[in-house]
Amino acid sequence: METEKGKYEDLIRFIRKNKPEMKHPDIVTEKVMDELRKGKSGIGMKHILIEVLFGWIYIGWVRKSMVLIAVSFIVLFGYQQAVILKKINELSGQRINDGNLFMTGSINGLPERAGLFRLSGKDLSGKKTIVSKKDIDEMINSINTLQIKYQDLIDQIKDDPELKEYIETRMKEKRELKN
Amino acid sequence: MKGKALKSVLLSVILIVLSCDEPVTVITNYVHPDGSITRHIEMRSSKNSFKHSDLQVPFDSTWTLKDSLIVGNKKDTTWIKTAEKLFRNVDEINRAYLADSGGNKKISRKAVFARKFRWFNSIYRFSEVIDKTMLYGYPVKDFLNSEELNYFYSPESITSEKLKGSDSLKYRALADTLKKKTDIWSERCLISEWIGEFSNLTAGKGVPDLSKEKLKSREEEFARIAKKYDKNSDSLWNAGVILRDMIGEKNAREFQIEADTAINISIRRALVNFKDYSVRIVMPGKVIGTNGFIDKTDQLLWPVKSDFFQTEPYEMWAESKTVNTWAWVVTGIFLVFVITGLVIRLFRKKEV
Repeated sequence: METEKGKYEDLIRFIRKNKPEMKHPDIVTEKVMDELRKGKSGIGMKHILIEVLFGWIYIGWVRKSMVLIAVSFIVLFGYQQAVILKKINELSGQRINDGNLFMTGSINGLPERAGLFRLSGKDLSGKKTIVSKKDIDEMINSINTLQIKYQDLIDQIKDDPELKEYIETRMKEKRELKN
Repeated sequence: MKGKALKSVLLSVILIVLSCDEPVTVITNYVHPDGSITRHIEMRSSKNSFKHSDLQVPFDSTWTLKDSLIVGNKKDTTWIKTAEKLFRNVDEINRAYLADSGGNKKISRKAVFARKFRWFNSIYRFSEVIDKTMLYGYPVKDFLNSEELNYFYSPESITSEKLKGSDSLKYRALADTLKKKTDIWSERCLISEWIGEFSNLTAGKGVPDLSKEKLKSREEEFARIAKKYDKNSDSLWNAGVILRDMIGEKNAREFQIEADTAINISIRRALVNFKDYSVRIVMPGKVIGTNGFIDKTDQLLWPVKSDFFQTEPYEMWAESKTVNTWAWVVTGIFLVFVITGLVIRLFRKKEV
C-alpha cells in the first residue's frame, strides 16, 4: 500500500514539474480576444437595429398611435368586406342564367367571346385572363376563314352526288372502324 | 280625357315602329379602370340598310365599322353592322350624345363615371342616364309593387319566356294586373301633365280656380271625368264637353285654347318618339352593385324602352371593385411591425 502511494505521489510531482508548453501563446491570446470582440459587436448591432426599429414602444403616445392605426386598418377592412358582401348578396336576385334570352346578339358566339377577351380581359366564366389583341384577332380571322372553307366544302358536296356518296361511304367506314 | 285618342296614337306608333324594320341594337360599354370606355354597337337587321334616322345610338366615320351577315337555317339573312370606338372619358361620349342626329336625337342621354380610392379596394361606378320626358308625371313605383316593378323593367324576351313557362298562369295574371295598373299610371300622368301645363298657361290671368294647387286637389275628380267619357273622349274633348265638366262653362269658354295647347304638349311628352335598344356594361374587376340584370359572364344588361324614362330619369348603373394589392401588402407589413413591437415590449417588461 505504502509503495503504491509513493508511486502515485512521484507521478503527481513529475506532472507538476512538467507543465504543457504553448508554442505561440500570443497568437492564441489574440485569436481568443478576436472571437470575444466579434461576438460582442454582433449582439450590439442587433440590439441597435431593434432599438432603432422598435424604439417607439417606449414612447407612450407613439405606441398608442401605432396601435390605433393598426386597429383602424382592421376595422376598415372588416367594414369594407361586410359592405361588399352585403352588396354582392343583394345582386343574387338580379342574376339571369342566359344572357341570350335578353340580348339578340349572342354572347356565346365566338366573336363575342373573343371581343370580351380583347376588350375586358375576361373569359366567359368572368375570370381575368391575359390574351393579346393580336392573338385574338388572328384567332377570329382563322376561324372565319375556316368557317368559309367549311361552308364551301359543304356546298361542293351538296352539288356533286358522286362526292356526296363517296363522303358518306368514307364516313360510314370510319364509324364502323370506331365501333 | 283623350284616353282613346292616346290609345289609338300609341297603337299607330307601335305599328309604325314595327313596319320601320329598324335594326335591333345592343350597345356594350367596356369600362376601363382609367375611365376610358370602349363602346361597341351591334345592329342586326333583316335588310341591308341601316338608315341614319333609324339608328338608336350615335356613331360616325371615326368609329371602326364592320359589316357582316348570317344566313339562317331557313335561308333568312341577318345583316350585322358593328361599330367600335375607344372614348378617353365620359365627356367624349356625352359630346357624341349632344351631337346625335339619329332616331333618338330628341332624348337627353348622358354617361357618368366615378372612381373612388378606398385603400384596400378601388370602387368604380359607371352609369348611363336618360332624362325624363314628362315634367309633372308620377313615378311608376307609386303604382306598382316590387314584383310588378321587376316584371315591368324586364325585357320582353324574359317576360315572354315566363308566360310560356311552368308558372304561366301566375305570370299571365301578373301581366294583366300590370297592364291595368300601367294604364291607370299613364292616365294619371297625362292628367298631371295637363294640370301642370294648363296652370302655367293660365297663370297670372287672375283665376284662382285654375291655380296649380286648386287643379291638383281636383285630380281624382278629373280622373273620374276622364273615365266617364272614355268611349268618346276625342270627340267630346273637341266639342268642349269634357273641359266644361272639368273647369266649368265660363272657364272652358275662356281658356279653350290654353287647354288644347296643354293637352297637345302633354301627349307629345307622353308619346315621345323613341327607338328601343339594349345596353350592356362590362365593368373592371368584380361587380358589387347594379340595377340591371347580370348574366353568367358577369355582364350587365338593361332593356331601354320609352316607358322607363317617361316620368323619372332612367339610370342604368353599375358598381365594381378592384383590389389594391399594394395596399394589402403595406397594411400586412405594418400590422406585423406593430404586433412585433408590442411583443418585444411585453418580453422586456417581463425581464425587468
